[in-house]
Amino acid sequence: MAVMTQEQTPAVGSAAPDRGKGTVVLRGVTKRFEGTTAVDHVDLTVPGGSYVVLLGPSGCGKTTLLRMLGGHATIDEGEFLLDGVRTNDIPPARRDISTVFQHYGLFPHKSVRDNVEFGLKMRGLPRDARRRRADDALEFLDLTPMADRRPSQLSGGQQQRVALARALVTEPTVLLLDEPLGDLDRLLQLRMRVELRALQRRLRITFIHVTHNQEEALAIADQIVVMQDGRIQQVGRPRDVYRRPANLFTSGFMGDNNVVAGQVSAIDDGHVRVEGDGLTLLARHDATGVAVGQNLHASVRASCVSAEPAIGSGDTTSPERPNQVTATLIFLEYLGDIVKLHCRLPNGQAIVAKRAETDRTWDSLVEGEPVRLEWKTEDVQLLLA
Amino acid sequence: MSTNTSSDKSSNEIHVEPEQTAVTRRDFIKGSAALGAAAVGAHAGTTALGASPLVGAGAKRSAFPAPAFLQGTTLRVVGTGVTLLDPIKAQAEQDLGITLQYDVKDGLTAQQIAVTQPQSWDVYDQWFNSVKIVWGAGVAQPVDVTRLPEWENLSPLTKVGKINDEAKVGAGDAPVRLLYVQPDGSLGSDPTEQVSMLPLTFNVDAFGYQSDVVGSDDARSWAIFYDPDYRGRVGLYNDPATGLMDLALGAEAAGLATFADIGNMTRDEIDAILNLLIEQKQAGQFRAFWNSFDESVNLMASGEVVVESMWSPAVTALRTRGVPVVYASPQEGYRGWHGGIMINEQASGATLDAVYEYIDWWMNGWAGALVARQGYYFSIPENAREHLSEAEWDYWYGGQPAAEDMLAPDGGVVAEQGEVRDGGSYETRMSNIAVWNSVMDEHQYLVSKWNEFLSA
Amino acid sequence: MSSSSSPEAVATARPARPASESRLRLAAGSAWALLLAFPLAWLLAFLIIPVVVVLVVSFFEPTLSGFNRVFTLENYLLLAESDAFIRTLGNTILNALITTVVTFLLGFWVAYYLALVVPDLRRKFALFIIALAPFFTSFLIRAIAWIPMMGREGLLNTALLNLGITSQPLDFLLFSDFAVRVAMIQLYLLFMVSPIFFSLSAIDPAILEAARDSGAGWWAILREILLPLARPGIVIGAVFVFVLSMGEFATVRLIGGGKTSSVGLGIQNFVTYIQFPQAAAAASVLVLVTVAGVVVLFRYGRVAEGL
Repeated sequence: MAVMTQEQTPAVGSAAPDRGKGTVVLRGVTKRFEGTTAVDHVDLTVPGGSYVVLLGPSGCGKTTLLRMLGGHATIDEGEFLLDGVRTNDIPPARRDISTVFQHYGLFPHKSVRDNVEFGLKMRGLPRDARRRRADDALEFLDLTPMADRRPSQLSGGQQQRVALARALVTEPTVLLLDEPLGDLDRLLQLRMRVELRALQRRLRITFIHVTHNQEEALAIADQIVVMQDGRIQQVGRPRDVYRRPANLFTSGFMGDNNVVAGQVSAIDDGHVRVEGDGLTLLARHDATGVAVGQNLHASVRASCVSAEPAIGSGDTTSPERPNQVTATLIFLEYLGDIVKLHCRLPNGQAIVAKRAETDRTWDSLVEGEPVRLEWKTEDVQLLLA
Repeated sequence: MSTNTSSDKSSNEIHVEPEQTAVTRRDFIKGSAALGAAAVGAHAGTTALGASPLVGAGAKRSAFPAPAFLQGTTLRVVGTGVTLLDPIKAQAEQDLGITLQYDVKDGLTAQQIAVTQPQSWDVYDQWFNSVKIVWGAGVAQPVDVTRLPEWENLSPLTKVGKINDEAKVGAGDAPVRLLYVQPDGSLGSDPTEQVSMLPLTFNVDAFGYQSDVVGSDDARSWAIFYDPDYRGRVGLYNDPATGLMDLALGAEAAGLATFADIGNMTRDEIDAILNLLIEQKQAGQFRAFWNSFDESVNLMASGEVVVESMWSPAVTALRTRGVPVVYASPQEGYRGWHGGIMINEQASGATLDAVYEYIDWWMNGWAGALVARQGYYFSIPENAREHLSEAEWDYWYGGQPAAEDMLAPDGGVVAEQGEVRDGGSYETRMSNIAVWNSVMDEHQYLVSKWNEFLSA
Repeated sequence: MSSSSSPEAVATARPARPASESRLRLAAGSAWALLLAFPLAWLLAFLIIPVVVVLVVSFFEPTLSGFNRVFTLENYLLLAESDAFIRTLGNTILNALITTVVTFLLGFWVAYYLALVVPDLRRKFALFIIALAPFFTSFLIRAIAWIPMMGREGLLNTALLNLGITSQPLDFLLFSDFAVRVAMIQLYLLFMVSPIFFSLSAIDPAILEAARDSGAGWWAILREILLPLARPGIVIGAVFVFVLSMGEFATVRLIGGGKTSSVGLGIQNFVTYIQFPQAAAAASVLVLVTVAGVVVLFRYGRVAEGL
């Protein structure tokens, strides 16, 4: 089980396509605001050239962490190394890091070209050189026809690309993106996240992207860093975080997990048996530190629960095997690609099953009728924290 | 001219709410007529005025009956703080059974209201130097002196132009020159039975000086305004009809200018005096110009000026603050001013009757006694005398040392026992008027030149 | 029964529909007209009619007690020939320009401090109220308070004398052009601060961070970001201060003590002396010059462009 705690330095890595410049290492990085700790001893290694998404609810410290990387907030404690160089006290402009700000922070009184040129101008580049580089950046992001417009004359997606061009024109090795898709409508979000990913692949630099949207994180990241209360909860590939939430928070935040509070009743044959909330669950015994009598949570992803009409309807008291239960179908939510089955046990415990629309087993289910729910042993996650 | 021109705090503080207090007072009078004058005086003093306006006059209060037909009539009076005093208002309302609305402004503002808002007033209580302008605007009707039994007793100062045969008439707009309405509607000194403004209150003005800085020899002449010893310490009154007179008297005394008729200068004379003034101003002779009574007091009190064209109540105010200011008696003579009442062109019926009752009440002397305690004279001195104690009469009119402490209408001591009034007796002072506040023939020219002087 | 009568109902209903639509449109139109009528009536009553009246009176013949309705150019000719008026007009413009420039130079930093340095909204508000405090008292009191401050025997002169910095009281601290300018700057500073404050406050903090991120230092941020973005506020503040100082007369009268003048004071004097046509002529010239100044400010400030 891929449980990561702050004690182990979580290394983002396995999926990083390219090791090189833009490697970020954080050691015990901490930020405090009057009485609260916004970022609490964060240890993290981001290999150069990877796309990392910091994911968490608002107030979890992800934006503060990003601002510290960008140099817009001081690091109270700990160390930030960029390609092995301590970067804590280097001013923003002299870090090889650029930021795409939330709501973009475009200069409303300057043309698109002047926005993009701004960083080069501040670096003292001669007019011709900066003009050329700005035009390249504009071309790279398909903004050439808009070069002389003001930001207010552009669409949301175009504004975002201007922000990207402005950040990239100085050729950073790390690009920080603060909720870059937050201002876009849903369709544009879907398109832009593909483009962002493609851009990062083309540039081969490190992208560190902050969002509260788990779907966005899953879609775009090489590695997801889940944060809560200023601490890292889990680091992993999207599929690992999704399939194997390390703790109760991640499990809840990643959505559509059935979480059961229970007690370990037996450990045998490489299996752990958990009883609770009127259910008996059997999980693989592949984590250390599980003992009989221990209270813990178990989680089963909704899409791992299968459903069929209960045989001998009305008989919900018949003995059941583990990982199986008879419930009442309360509401069948038809969503097109998938169908969500909202079920309830006699004790009131809710269980959600998610089936593909094409899996027609759900077709014979009737709201208000008993339904037999079942899942596999390997789909049961034990949440120790 | 004198005292609080602007709608001062001092007049606001003792302000009487017209409607309510008038009614209660009238009710009180009706119900307690038998209680006698002293009690009435005490009542008015405590409820409306704080300190008694009737100090020294308790037993001699006006014996006017309140004519029944006037009950409930309201008179709107626009004028200055010199005569629009709350004790006068209270007493007149009580005696006449009318309601008075006093609109207290500085002189120029009152004049402006009189001309531009004639619908807003019934009675205009101001100074003779505004008669030409207000009469000329056609907003006033003649005062019919045959309706005023006290007219016979009015001082020759206004009727003839001088208080006795030896006195100077004084240059400029002496009241007599603007008093009588001539058959053609113009104003002149040939007696008729109609007058433009009924003359009531008057005085002479000079300048004040700080006695610890200014030598009394220097202060004998208006020429002090040009004395280089006081360069940058001279304060002036910003008004071409009055302030200029002081400066012209000074220029003449200092030998810097001459005038054929100082009260009615020619354009050349105006140019000459104003060029002199501009020159002096640019040389830094004048420290400041004031517009309101309060400003004139503040300038002297704060030490900005040591010589200032000012009104006698300002000197009194400064002395009570402990500033050693003396009011000069210049050897060239004083600048005289005379106040009075004009009647609105539109006044008629009960309102007009009330106006005549109000004027008649004024002429009866109670108010004249009250303004005497402010240092002003009254056009029928004998009537004022009836309402003054002997000691008061001797001090204010007689030029005698005060037999006892002299009290102002608000109860404050203006002169301690033994003090003598600056400038002596009524006769002495009134015989020595060099010039009157005047609106000259070339007034409009003067105004624009004066404006240039101010911006020089 | 409804089914049989429905054809007629439809037939009658058809023409009724556009009619009701047009009624609606009409109602919307008259609502708009009402909405527009109020500001228009306001403008008419408090701006256009007074200006027209002033203009008309400025061509009347003055008399001792007002004017005759006889056309004359004399009032303007007198002004044009008067060195004093020309000088006063020049001095008025100079004072207005000095006041505008100095209130900008000072006010920008006050606004900068309030908008960008003071961290939380409550403290910003508290400081703004404190800055407003002088306006809780009447103008007259504030003006009179200058005498004990700046007078010959005032605090400042006493301090300078006691410290041995001067050996004589400085007269120019009161009743001088200098004093008038200082007082006007004090008086109108807030009219400059407020619009600049609101302009600066409206700047998205991300813009400033983005500038810093791009390597802009304090000076570059001021020049490249803050000044251009504050421009609408600066221009509006400048218009406020310029217009108010052009029309100034009370400060000039009280603080100038008759030692200096303004067109406004001249107008006030003409009015108190009941010389309305001259007052109106001077006022017309003043309005013309002021409007010209405002036009220049708006042109130069390009406020209409928005940013």
